[in-house]
Amino acid sequence: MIKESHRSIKVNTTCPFCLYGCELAIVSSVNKYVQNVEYRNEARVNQGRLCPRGNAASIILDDKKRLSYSIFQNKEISWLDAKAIIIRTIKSFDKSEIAITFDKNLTKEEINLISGFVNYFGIENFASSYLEPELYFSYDLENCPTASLEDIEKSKVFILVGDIFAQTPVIAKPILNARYAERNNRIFVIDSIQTRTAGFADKFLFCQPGTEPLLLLGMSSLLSGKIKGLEIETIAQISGVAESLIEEVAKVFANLTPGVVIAAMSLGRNENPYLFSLAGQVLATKPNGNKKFLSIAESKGNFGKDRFGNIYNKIKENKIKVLLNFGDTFPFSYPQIKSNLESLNGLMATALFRPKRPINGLILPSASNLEKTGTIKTLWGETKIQKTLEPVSGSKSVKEIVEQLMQEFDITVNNCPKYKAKPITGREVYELAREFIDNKQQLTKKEKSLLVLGEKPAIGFLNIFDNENIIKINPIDCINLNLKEGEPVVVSSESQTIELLIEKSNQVPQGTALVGVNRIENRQLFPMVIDNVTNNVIFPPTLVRVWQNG
Amino acid sequence: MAKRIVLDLDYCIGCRSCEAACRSRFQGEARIRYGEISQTIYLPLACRHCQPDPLCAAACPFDVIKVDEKTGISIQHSFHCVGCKSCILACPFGVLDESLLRRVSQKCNLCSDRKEGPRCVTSCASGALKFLEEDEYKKKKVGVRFISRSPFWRRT
Repeated sequence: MIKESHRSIKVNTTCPFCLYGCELAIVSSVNKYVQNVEYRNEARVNQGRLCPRGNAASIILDDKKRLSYSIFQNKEISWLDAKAIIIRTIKSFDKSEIAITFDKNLTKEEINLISGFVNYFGIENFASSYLEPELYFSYDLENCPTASLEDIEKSKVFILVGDIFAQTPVIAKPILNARYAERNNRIFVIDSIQTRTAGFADKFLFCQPGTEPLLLLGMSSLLSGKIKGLEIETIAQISGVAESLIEEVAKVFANLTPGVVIAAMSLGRNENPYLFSLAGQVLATKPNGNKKFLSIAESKGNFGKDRFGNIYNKIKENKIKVLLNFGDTFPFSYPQIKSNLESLNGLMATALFRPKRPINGLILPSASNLEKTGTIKTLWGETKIQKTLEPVSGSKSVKEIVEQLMQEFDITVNNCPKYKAKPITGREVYELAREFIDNKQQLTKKEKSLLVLGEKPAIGFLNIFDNENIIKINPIDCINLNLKEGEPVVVSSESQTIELLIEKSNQVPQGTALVGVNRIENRQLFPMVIDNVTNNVIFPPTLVRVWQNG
Repeated sequence: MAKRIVLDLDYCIGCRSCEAACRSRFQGEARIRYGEISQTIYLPLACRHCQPDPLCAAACPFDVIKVDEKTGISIQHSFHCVGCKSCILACPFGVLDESLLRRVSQKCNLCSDRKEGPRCVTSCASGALKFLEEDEYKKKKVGVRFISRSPFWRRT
């Protein structure tokens, strides 16, 4: 007989850590001790397969670093005191001085509730605080069809832009199955790094960093008749990819049907993510036949009323004095903005983990998406998530926090406004591309400097399985800079100086370096720029100097 | 006939989901290792459960590793392990990790607590790892496309 306390409970849910929507189960004992993740072979989307993010679910639920109490000015306080502070702060400032933001990993119900709360007070400073370039995939092109899982399985030709397999490994099986189904099926990869995804390409378009959207638009221009300013000769010259190769890939892509363009972005990889997100969609709509587009992301689709760039500018100008953020990791994920946030009169954020460094403000412990019930968005539509466990003691879901605040103000939410960006036309995208080409300036390379790019593989998720304390450099650059494998080095950009270990890698072209951006310290290398067109935030590639430590 | 983990190089994308699955189950220490041979070859290294006499079992001074007669799986009885690392040195494939967790060497037992087979195989994001009977894996062609793409790897 099994003791009652040893009996295990299995709760099925959907992995909330990216938009792929893998199904999994959490096994825990009756006394709420998390045992492990279990795989669901019956699941349509993933057939039991899980990437490192999904496998980390049980570790996150049971992590010792989980925040279980409220912190105010670096001291532990009770929830009732925390609630009183929030109410007092909201009441004592004008609505134009308050900003409300939301991070990823919120359910649809939670975002609706926050929208209602914002609407009641008439707060205009309401935006997404998920600042990864993936958010740009929320911009849709007019009449661009989105690919479903069935479309991927039936597809004969793929154009993969970025390191798709590392960012969302579960998508690899349907893509490779479709490729191997027939001898003539093709995979083309466009990237500025020789990634693992590129290893599976029939043709690899190895381009200059940041020129991926130009290649996509160049192919689209080739297929739809020449478009002024985007001639193949110009594109070939800027991207460093041979004209004949671009033409060959474009022709095969047009002739084989059905086909899918899949794009993924990572922080510190693209200087113009807006153009990147739209270029793939333009190519998918251009050639005759059945072509579709799919974007890979951890979160997308929600902007709010305003954009974070505007809110950040108002904070710097001291027009916004209070910032309330609902979500899992903001503002700790972006050290670049921390100093400006500390000048606020009131900062309230919900967080999953204890902050590594003290922060001036109020931090509330929040429940993970595995500890709440609700609806989340996936690449294939909406899906329900189940509460697999009660939230960690002391923590509350964002829904519970907002509901309790609403009770205090005696608000009920009926109609929640929906905020969606207006679709963009193909003509506007071509115009953007022409502007991009005209303004594209080569970063003036100083002697012994390297262009550092970011990568975001799933194995580095929250640094649970891989702490990403390395910088990948081409072996020839290592010789030139007198660096040895495994050696600690100092990496210094304009914005920050950090310490990393050297890894020689042929993946990285000469003059370029690669760091994992799941690690928060590594993110500091990239400067934060506010995009003039969209008012969103960009973390573009930047120049660094690397030298031996000591 | 005993089942074994088989790797299909045509599908392995080097995502390390297998390692993550093992680490999440065994409190941070993976019993499957991961190696990168070249830019395009990624190799999860799982215990081969050598037959008939595994070298790790022969090297163990306390007979901690024993071969199960029914399944042919070499199972480590961790309770008696003293962490002498003899098995780690003896393994000809370098599969056993040098770092000891709680002073005990970590050896794969093909997740014998699980009916569905090893976690690394179920979790494998690209479907590269398979858990097959000896008859099946001898017939199955794996890594064919990979070899045809790289003539230097062709052996026949």
